[in-house]
Amino acid sequence: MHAEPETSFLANLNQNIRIVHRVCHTYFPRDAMEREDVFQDIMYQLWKSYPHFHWESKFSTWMYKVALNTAITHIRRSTRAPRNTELTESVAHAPDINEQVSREEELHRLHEAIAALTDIDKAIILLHLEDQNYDEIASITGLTRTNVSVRLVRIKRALKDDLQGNQ
Amino acid sequence: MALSNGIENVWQEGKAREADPAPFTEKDLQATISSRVRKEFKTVSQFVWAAIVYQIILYSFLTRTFIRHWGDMQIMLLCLAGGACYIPLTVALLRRVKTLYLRPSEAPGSPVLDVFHKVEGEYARLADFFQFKKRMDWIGVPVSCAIIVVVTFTLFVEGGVERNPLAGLAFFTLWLGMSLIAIHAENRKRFILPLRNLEQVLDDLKNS
Repeated sequence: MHAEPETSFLANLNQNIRIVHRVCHTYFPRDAMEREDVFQDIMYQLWKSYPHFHWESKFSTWMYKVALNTAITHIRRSTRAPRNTELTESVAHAPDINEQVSREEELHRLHEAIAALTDIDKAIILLHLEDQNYDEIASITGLTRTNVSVRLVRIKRALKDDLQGNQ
Repeated sequence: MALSNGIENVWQEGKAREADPAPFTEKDLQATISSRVRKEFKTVSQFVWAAIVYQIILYSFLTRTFIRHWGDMQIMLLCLAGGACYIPLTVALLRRVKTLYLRPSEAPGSPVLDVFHKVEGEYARLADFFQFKKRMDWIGVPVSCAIIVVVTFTLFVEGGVERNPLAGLAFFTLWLGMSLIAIHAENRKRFILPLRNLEQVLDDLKNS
């Protein structure tokens, strides 16, 4: 990649860099080393694919596609055993002493519930929570719009049941 | 836990509390590229080495025997026949390895695939290569075992295979059995389990 496209790549990337962090945290919530590894992998794949990106979709949609493809491929190829440590021990066992802690705990439990979903369901709920509409989710995942909407209802119900079960 | 505001609100509140991530600089990019290139190259090299190392040993064995027994027409012909049987398999293998590692998204001008088509494509390429490998194993393994047995007996056993057919057959069966056990383990690790994982993802995508 020449200097000018590289500069525009970095500018666009940094505007949407949270996407990569969110995908990494959603798929690898427990292992910081693996998360760092997949973060680098996604960055590399984005850089490699950027010359072929012709703005036919939003930059963020394209980034989600690359990031999710890379994360799912990484899970399949990974030979490392998943580490069964808690997501954030200090928060998980903290007493509910104030509103801030309670909110943190809610978020922590939501992350845990999402971590228990299948790879595709994780992608769908992540895209939904990141305000992607049904058409964009369908375009990124390759599912139909109807499938996305049906699955989303099912995923949200499963998350709700999971969270209520942890009460 | 009952979510007081629904999962969307909990997520959005969490986002609002997050600190801004550090920007990704040109220096980070260069470091990432160098590291990934090394990693990809290493992964591909390991796989290719595992696939062709046996053939290198076989070719070395045949070449050494051919030169060492220069003038002995029977041994020279055996070595040439063995090499002639194996060269097409090596060429086919190298072509397939190239196809396996050339991802569609890496071809110039290729669009980025959605998740379903990406997984489907990976599954198809891996399944295709596995089919080819199984066919190659059916031909290549007995051929290479036979070459090794015939040449070894001709060189080191008086009368060769012709005068020791039972011993030759036993040696061939033992060699073939060991090869099949190794191939079964390799196929399971490199192909069957990854294909099963991909199937699960595809099933999950289809059964929605």
